[in-house]
Amino acid sequence: MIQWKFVRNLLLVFFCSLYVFPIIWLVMISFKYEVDIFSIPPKWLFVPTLEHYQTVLADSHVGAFLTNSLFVALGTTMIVLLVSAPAAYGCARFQSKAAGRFIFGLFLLRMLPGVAVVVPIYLVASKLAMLNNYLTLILVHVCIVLPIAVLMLQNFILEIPKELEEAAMIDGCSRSAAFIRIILPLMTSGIVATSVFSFIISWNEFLFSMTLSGYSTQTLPVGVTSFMTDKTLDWGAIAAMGVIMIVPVGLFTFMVQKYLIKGLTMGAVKE
Amino acid sequence: MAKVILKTITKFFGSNKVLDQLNLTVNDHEFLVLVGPSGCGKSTLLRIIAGLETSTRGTTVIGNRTVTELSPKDRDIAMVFQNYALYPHMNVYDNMAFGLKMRKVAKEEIDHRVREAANILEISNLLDRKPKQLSGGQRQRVALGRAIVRNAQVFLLDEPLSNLDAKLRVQMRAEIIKLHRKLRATMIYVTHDQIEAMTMGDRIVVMKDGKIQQIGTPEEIYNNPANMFVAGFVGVPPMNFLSWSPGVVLGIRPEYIALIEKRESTIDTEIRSEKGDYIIEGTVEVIEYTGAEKLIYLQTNFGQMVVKTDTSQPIKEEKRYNLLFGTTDIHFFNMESGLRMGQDRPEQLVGTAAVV
Repeated sequence: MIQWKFVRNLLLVFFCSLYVFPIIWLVMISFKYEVDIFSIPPKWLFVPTLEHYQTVLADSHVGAFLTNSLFVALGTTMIVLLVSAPAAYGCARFQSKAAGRFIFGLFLLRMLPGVAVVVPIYLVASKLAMLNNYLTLILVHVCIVLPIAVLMLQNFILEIPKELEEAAMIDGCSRSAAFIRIILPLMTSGIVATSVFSFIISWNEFLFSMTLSGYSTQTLPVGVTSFMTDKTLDWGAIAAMGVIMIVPVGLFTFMVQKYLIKGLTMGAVKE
Repeated sequence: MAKVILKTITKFFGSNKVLDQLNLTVNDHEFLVLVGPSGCGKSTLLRIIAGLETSTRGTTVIGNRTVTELSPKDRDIAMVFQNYALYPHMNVYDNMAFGLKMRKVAKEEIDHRVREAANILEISNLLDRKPKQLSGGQRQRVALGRAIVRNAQVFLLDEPLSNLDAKLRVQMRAEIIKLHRKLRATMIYVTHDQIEAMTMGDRIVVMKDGKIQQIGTPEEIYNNPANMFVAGFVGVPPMNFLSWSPGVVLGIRPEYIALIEKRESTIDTEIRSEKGDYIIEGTVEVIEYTGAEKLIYLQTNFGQMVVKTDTSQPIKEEKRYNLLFGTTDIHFFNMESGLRMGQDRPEQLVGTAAVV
């Protein structure tokens, strides 16, 4: 019995470390001097330094990357919620062939590899003179997140008995009023989970942000590449940027984790 | 309060006809029960009256208004759902006040009405609680309260007791009847439980396969069932059906049969004159003791029959008994159509009665 417990814990630690290792490695690099970064065998104990953070934060662009990323990710999240909540409600409550096709249509974009659509989207944006434009980035990110957001929220709404809306409609609400007054408050955890999800996707998105952004709209993931030039590859600075990218998302997720867990596990067990 | 009139209501779900040319008038102040097996369309009918479902054809009239095209909020109805449908994020007070708030009733008036309803239902001490913190019976009261405060023209109740345990169900049954007497409201109540229907309804509508089988008072339904379905659906245990002669089924309720132990010496005719007009012979197979009475299952020449007796009569398994019943208690049904043969039942059938 004790042996089994030991083996089990060992396995747990092993698999967890598989996931956590890259992050630990990244954090370690960001605090290492250049020499320690490349030392073989790798140094686990080293004299820490903040020089990479100083380099990164002294770079006038990084602040702009951060604001751009925040702006795009928040914009994406907001539009996704505004569109996906009613869309999910419609799909959940009026289940029909049309609703099924609608969801399939949404997923078409996700089924294609991003590189397959990036060129056409670039051309469209360029013809519309919408390159280097926040709106373009936000709209493309919305397209990426929306299908999954609709599907997630639809599952939430399916959990809510439809009698609640019916009761509200008999109590004097129109269908939309019933949705706003009764259904929306009940799907808070779903909305939180969905917003975390879309924020993270938009925050991390690289391919489209790289292609469609311009000098003034570069987001963090694109900004990281500015430390990779044909002459140098500043791993320390890149790692420091990586840590800076993780922190806001980590904080955000930590703050809403109560809702997140509830949100992601809803429907798993019957109340 | 108001009358509800349904004219030729037909409803299709896809190509599936769930309601077929239904006509029904619910009188002012009446407690009308829609009863039938699951899938008979009774809930759909209620939802059509509520406006939650639209009828494919037909007209719905509430009071003096045709409401067929109106949305639920404009029909002036209140409804109680099977799963209560209380708003989980609101406390009891807000749950009850919601409908009035939506109708822009003045705050003092809302407060007055909610507290009055809470008093009637004895839930005044629960007003601050969330639905989650209430027991099933309390939730049911809140759901009723939410309907009462509205002072709506018609109350619709969709199996409101079926989520409660047996004891509470009986208690709430009586309370809803009391409530109806107090409010004098027009109430339409859907249930699949024929005992609820019999005990609560001023009139009962028995439905099957989207059609009304019979409309009548509980006594009429019980004593003069229109067809074999109604006869078999109402009453526990159900009516015995014996294929009496070609094309004719005889129905007799288990409580109207007397059991007399068969002795060789007894002359059948003597008993007959004393107890009834019909005698059938049967062997006891199973005895069920329910506390207040016994259910005796017998095998007869006409198939299995069940008899309800009081517990004082000693009955033994595997013994032979005479089953006796009178002319006034039996019904004849047409085997093909299932319809009851009324006054015009053939004379010769009565004549065959003595055949044992």
